[in-house]
Amino acid sequence: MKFVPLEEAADVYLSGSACQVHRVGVQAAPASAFFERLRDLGRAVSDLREDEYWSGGLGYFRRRRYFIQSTPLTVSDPALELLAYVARAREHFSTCRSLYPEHADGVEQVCDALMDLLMSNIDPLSDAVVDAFAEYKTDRVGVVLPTFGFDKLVQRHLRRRTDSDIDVLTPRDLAMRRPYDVLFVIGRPWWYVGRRWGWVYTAPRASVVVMLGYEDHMREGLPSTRAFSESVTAVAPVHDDAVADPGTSDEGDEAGVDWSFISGEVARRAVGADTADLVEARMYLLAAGCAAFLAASEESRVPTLEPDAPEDGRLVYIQAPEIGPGSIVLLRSEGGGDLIVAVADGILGPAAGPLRAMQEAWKSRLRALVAERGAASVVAELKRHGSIRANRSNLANWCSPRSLRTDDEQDFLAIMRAIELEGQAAQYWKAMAKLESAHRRAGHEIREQLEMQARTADLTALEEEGRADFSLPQGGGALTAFRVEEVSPEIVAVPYQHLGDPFEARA
Amino acid sequence: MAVIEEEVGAEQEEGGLQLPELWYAGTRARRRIPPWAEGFVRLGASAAGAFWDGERLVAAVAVPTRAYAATLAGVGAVAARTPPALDDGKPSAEVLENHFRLLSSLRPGTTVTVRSGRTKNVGTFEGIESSGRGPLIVIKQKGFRQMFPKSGCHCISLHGRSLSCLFVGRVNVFEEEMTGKDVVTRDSAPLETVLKVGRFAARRDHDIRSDILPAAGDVPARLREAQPDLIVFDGTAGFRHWRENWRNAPWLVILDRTSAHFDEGVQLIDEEFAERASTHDQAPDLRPPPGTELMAFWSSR
Repeated sequence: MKFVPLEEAADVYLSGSACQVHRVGVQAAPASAFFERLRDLGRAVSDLREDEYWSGGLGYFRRRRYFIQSTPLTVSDPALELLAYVARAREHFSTCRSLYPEHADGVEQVCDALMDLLMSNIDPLSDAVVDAFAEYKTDRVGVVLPTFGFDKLVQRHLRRRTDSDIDVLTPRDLAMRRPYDVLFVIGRPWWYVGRRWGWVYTAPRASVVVMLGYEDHMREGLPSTRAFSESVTAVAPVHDDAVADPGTSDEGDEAGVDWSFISGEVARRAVGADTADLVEARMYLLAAGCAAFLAASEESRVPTLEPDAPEDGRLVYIQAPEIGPGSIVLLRSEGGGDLIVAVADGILGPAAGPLRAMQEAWKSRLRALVAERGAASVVAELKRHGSIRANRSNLANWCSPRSLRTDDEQDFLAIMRAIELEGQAAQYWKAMAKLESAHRRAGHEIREQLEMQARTADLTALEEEGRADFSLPQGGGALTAFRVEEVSPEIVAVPYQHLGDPFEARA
Repeated sequence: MAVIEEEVGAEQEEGGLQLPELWYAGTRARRRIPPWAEGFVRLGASAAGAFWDGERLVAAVAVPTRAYAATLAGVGAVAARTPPALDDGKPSAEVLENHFRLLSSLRPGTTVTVRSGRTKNVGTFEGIESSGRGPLIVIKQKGFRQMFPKSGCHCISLHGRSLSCLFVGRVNVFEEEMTGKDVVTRDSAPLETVLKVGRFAARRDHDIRSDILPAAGDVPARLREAQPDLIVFDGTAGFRHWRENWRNAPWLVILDRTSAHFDEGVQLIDEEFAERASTHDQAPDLRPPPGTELMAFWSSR
């Protein structure tokens, strides 16, 4: 959140006071052929949606379709990676004829249609922007994309084609800029509304908004400017020059992401995991074809980068639910395990081993007790032994390797009694205090190092590719900054050990 | 962009109150703040101290940008709740009328100062009583009750630190809006000279009219006993964090449509509306500033 002078704010109110919306729909035969073939295949295998073979395989096509429909670039531009994904899809479906012979021809047709599209070398979205641009005699024109990572490339492309200083940006950037005279909004409205960017239409940043996309998408209705259930509004109505027909698009997937593959990823990680280890999490699709699970709880804080912030304010820890498309998260990409544990062990030196052994000793006994008698029974026993905070939630936390000891020594003593280590309670309490102190120092050191890296890092790679690598000295391992591209709407339960671990996402 | 002509005119009035004339640094010249900005000043003035039969006002505004919405509403609230300067001479009828209205809207138990000749005594406001001579303000002092007609109410003033407005939000952004030179009074003074924000006050400065609570964390000691006339929440995060702590004051919640948490903020307001337990069907008479959407209701919670 940055300071906005009143004059800039006044521009925002002015642009919203008489906004005109125009719609420009494009059609291109090779593109339509690919979209239709893909839609037909999707319908044919709709009963197999939960099968990873199909959710993963169709995902290759659907994501490419989304980029084709949302990015004003020539279809043969390497950035769209159509050739690479045709190859991946062919490889993935190489077993189709033996596994699903009834669908093999359909798959082949989709691959062929995508290749035909690639070879056509068309650029329909840009063509439409160039044509429409010529009608508006104004300096301040912008183009909004619903995706990340293409804005610089598309900007170069459109500036060349229009011979102008046209800006290309994402909604995140748009919110911070002065309003434009004309704003081209690329793609279907739902791609913006679904990502909490519906304000592109309800609080427009231009006097003229030109919705531009493939024909079917341009029939979609705009979100209502009315926010509250009972209100008085002084918001000027948006003058939309078309009658919307909301029922024309049959795409149920979210911007080419078929989230049904999540269940497979969750199942793989949950195999053999203790119930006590499971935490609520969401999957985040990241740039460079990666993904990660992050805790869904508001208590969880994630280090993020704000590249536009002043150098000493780039590293910001934010609550996980605040992370959305465009956020840049820092995740551990090398070294494995919890970063704080690794750095804390480095601080402790030779003392780390015995201390960790003691940590594991009391926790494994407590977990075994819970497994044998059940959580409710163990809670009751802890209370009998004098615990004042024993309940299911705290018990789960005490069992977790992520906690070191109880807040209150009385609770710790109760645990020691329950697991028959009462005679060594004081020794264990002191040992866990040493670990806690090392963890605090580790957290402080990590933050300092990250802040230094964030201050001095060359963020060009981050802007262009959506990822950048950092390394931490003193055995901290490597971190990677990833731009978040999509956020799953579903909350799932994954073992805490898998939180923040980036992996390849096939969708 | 069309040239905005400078407006030179009278100060705003809201229900008989004089609201400050504010100017901003335009590209070519200093200009009066535009109608939408004046709308927030008026809104804050109307919302401050807004109670009806013990039910407080809850208002939320959906805005296209958060810039200055909360700050200007706060300026209106402070201006409306700041008693006029009352000297020993006879105040005008209009001044007495405004002051009486201000005192009448106080919550029972509010600490006041009563001047009697050269002495000043501390008392508490009990309420208004009707009499053949008209309404009387009842002040309880040590061992006795005193009743003041309108003509004598200038002897009563608000005591010590009485917050007209409590802002909830990002301190650094408020600081620029309140202490910077972008928007100023007619005398080119920063808004802070009107707001008198405790957070920015010098140690010796006791004339505090407003303060800022960060959107997260604990209540600072200086605000634990505060009973502000209006709480202005700048965004969903602060509203979500603090709403259960401050159910004794009127609220004004600013929700920025471009915020990722806008929908959540709307949902929270709709929840408050559903659970308001109000005996009043009639919505408060408030006007949304141009370009915004306003939801307002009375709440007994």
